[in-house]
Amino acid sequence: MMITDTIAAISSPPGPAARGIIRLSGPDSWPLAMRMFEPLSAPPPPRRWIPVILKPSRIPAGALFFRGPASFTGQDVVEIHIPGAVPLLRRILAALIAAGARSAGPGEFSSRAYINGKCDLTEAEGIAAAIAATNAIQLRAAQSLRDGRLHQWTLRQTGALADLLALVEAGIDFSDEPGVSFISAADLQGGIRGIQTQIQQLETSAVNWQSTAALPTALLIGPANAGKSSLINQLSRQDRAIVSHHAGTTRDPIAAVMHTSRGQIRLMDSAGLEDSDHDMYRAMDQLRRQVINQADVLVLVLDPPHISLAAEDLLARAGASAGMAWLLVYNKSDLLPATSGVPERRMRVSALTGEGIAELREMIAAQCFAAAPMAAEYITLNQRHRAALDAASQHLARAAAAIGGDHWESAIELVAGDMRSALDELGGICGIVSNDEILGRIFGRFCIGK
Amino acid sequence: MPPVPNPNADPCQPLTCADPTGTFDVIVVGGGHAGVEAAWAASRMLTGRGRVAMITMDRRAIGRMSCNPAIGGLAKGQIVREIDALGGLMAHATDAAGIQFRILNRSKGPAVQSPRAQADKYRYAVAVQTLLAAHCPNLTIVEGIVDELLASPVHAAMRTNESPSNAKWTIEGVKLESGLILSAKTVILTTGTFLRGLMHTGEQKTPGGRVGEKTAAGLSASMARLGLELGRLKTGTPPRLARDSIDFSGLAPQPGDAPPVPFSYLSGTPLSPLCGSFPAQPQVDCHITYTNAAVHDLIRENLHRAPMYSGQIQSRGPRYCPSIEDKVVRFADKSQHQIFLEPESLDTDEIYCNGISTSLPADVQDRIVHSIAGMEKAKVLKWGYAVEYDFAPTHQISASLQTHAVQGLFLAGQINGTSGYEEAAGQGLMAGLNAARLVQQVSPVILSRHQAYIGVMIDDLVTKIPTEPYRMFTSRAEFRLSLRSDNADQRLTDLACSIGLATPQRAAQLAQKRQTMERITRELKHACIAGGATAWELLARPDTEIAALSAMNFIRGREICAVLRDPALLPMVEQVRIEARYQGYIDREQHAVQRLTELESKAIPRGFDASTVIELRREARDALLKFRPQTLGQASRLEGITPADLSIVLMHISSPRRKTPAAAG
Repeated sequence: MMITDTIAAISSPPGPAARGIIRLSGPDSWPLAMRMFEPLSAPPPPRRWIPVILKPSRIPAGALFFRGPASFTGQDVVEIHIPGAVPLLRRILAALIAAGARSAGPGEFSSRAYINGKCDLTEAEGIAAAIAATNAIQLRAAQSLRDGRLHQWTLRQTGALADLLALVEAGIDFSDEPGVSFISAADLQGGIRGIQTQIQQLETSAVNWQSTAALPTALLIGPANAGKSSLINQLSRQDRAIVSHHAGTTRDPIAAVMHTSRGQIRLMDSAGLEDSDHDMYRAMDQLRRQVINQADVLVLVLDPPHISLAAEDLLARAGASAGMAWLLVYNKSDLLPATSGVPERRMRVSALTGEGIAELREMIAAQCFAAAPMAAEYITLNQRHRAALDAASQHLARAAAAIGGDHWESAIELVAGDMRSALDELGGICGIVSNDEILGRIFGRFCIGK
Repeated sequence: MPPVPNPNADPCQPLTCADPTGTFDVIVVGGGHAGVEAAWAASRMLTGRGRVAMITMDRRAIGRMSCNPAIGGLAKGQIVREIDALGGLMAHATDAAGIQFRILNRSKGPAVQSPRAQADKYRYAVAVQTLLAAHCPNLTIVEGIVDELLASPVHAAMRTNESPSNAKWTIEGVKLESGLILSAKTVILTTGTFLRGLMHTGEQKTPGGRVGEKTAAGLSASMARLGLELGRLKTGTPPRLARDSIDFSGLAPQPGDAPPVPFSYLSGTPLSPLCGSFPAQPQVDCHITYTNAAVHDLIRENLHRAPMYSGQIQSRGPRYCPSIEDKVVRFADKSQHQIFLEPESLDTDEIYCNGISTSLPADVQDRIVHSIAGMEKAKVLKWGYAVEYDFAPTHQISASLQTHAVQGLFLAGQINGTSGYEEAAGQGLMAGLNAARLVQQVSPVILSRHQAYIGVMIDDLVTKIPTEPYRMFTSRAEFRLSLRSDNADQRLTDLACSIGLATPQRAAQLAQKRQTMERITRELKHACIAGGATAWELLARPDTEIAALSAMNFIRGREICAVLRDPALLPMVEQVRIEARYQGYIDREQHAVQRLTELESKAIPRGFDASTVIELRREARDALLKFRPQTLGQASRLEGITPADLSIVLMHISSPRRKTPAAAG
């Protein structure tokens, strides 16, 4: 709502894509972006494309700088273009927020544009509709969350924390009242640590919202030009990946959804493994390693020129070292001599003729559903949830650390402040606990009043 | 130092009573804690420029303490300091009449410590009356009961920018029961418990705002005719006992602080209007006793005779100030409740039984009192009672305390659904000040949530639906680390001086204090011990004693030792220490303040009509129409308003290129 702070958001559509865009708007857009990126050319004139690299991992990217008021929002705007790996984008956004940007609310870029006179009412009405639509989506999402475990979990934690805070606040606001027995330092500290532990457990056990509601994922990996993209197109029956005979066409991980008899599976393509010291390849390689951590099953694709025991061994070890289930696929079987049978976990397919495609589909599904725990067993967390949980956890840690010792009571208002902040963060997930509610808990429990 | 009064004589002698005819700029209806601050503020603002009248049923009751003989307390003490910093009178009167001073929460951090005082209730009223008489030459006291508000309809074309949105009436004056008409540009209602006041002691019902006093019956109907909606609230008070009849020998005494700390920043200095030397009164103890199982049994047996339980009283009372019958019912597992026996005066033998507020019948009260340790033979001077009164739900006022419906009509105190002398006084001061500003045709002064508890209170009032009488708590203030009792002057006195409410001498005094604090801070940051820690860093630690610090071996800036040992500088060193301790936290608060300020700075114009904004959800539209927030900040705090609703409101109010849908289409 404010227009003098700097907001940031991932502007590219959710899910993995060739290019990810993070957009910032506000007076600190450029300095904030440059905390994370190193410009490879001089500071920008009014509007320019500047090649940049991400510090410190040196992933190449680009930044578009629009100096306000000649921008969409009328403020300084920066767009960061970077390979569209979800974890990468999330990490950059989180870092921007940690550096002082604020996570943009629904329609906030557009409302800034309107406020700064950059669009007229007709457009604004469209924006209002968009905001409403976003809210409707959020509402539906919230609706589904309401019955969900995250909601229940958050209610439990905010309830426990609000009870603890009520005791602390009662100790502050009603210390002159008779008969109010307050919580001991040990109980308070124990209570806070308990909630902290709950948060930590949730964060480690939860899966990411971005993994498309935790669809099981198979990552296709193999030498350049082994035909992974064609294979994905066949498996998902869509032209998702750009197919080319030139090795190394696929630069960024791309994804497609494959329908199987057991359910949907997300297929991810990675750039081909290739020896090259080119920066871009290194960057992509790094990216692929990140992606490996997100997949449930590794599908190793080899084509005839690369079929060798050494390659198989290498790839199998890659899968094993990542602790993942793996499958080995001999692609372009139309080019191979017909043989009888292949060893376990190995399949012959031809993206061209369609040989073995249906079988591969079911094989991947079998591996995936064996490897991936069912999504429903997990609480899914999105970026906002994680940010809130992290912040709450930090506040709680500080509160718990301040309790105890001879002088701790003289800082009780600071403990209360941190507990309040933690409660506000958790409240952001499923509804704020107001000061009035805290007072209500006090009055409900204690005989307050002379 | 006010004269020692004889409570039976007329303590109101010094008050002037000029010719009550002609037009007043401000009329204050009521002489309680809201009324006297309102009259004081308006009169000070308009000295030499305008006339102020106070209408009261009884001149001698001006400044009377209706309930407990105490001022301040947690969060409330901060309000009194704020009133003082703004140039109000409550702190002066308390310091002049205080017979016991204590800082509450001493073991906790400075932000949640608050001053509290027991006051001699007669000397308190005299102090208030003396201040009004001596410093408000343009104030006229009129005895009477206001029966009717006089107002004329407003034509849309005549609405000014200062006028509240959609005001249908303009106030013109008041008519008294005697038939006397007083005309005025503005009227401030501070009716306390007197608006259709009805007292209950058991089955007995007596119309009146306080024992032995009348009620204002016609005013409610007059307000309703002007379109003001009224509700009903309830509060209660305990019995008063004769001191001589209580056996204090077995009871624990509760002494005040030695030395006592005054409320006013001026007390003990030549600038103080009443307390050049402090304390002004001898200091006394309170005593503590307890209820017991026999008392609780008595109450349970007679619950059917308690108006709150028999259904005789339907209105809501405060949860934080329950009657003894409430305590016994709701907290049945407790075997005793504490009672503070507080002297009401040095000159009379009245003792206030803090803790057994009740509306049980007199015969039951009699038995209860005599079942309590120390009170076995106590003589009851005045029975406890509950009182019901009319209030105006606060969605009807703006943050200046002016009503939406009637231009020039302001409400302050219990009529706004609050409880407490301090809450009333804080509103009274703001209403008096803003009525004077309206007369002067300048924009109202609104304190924000980060400036003052008074700001928090009024903001809560204009954004929340009341469910019980409103009392201040420190936990209501999100910026409570900044809203401390030690720095109210730094927060508010410059503002008060700039608008003419506080004297220029106060600004000078504050400037000097600031300068000294800056010098101390500088020297603390310069001085350091071997190892590099500065005196500032050492002072910020909670376990550092100032005396110990002054004895440390500083390798640089050794002059700091003299500063730390100077008793005259000690209060300022203490305050610098508070700031050092809170530094990081206050920086965080300031970040939130900045965000809040941006929302507050977005005014919602008078012409904004939420009913025409089709994108708003119904719930949001209803909330906006009911409360008519004046800033986006206020709107954001209304129940049922989401950030998306705010975006929509913002779009409709702030684009320079905004067009009507018809024009756009």
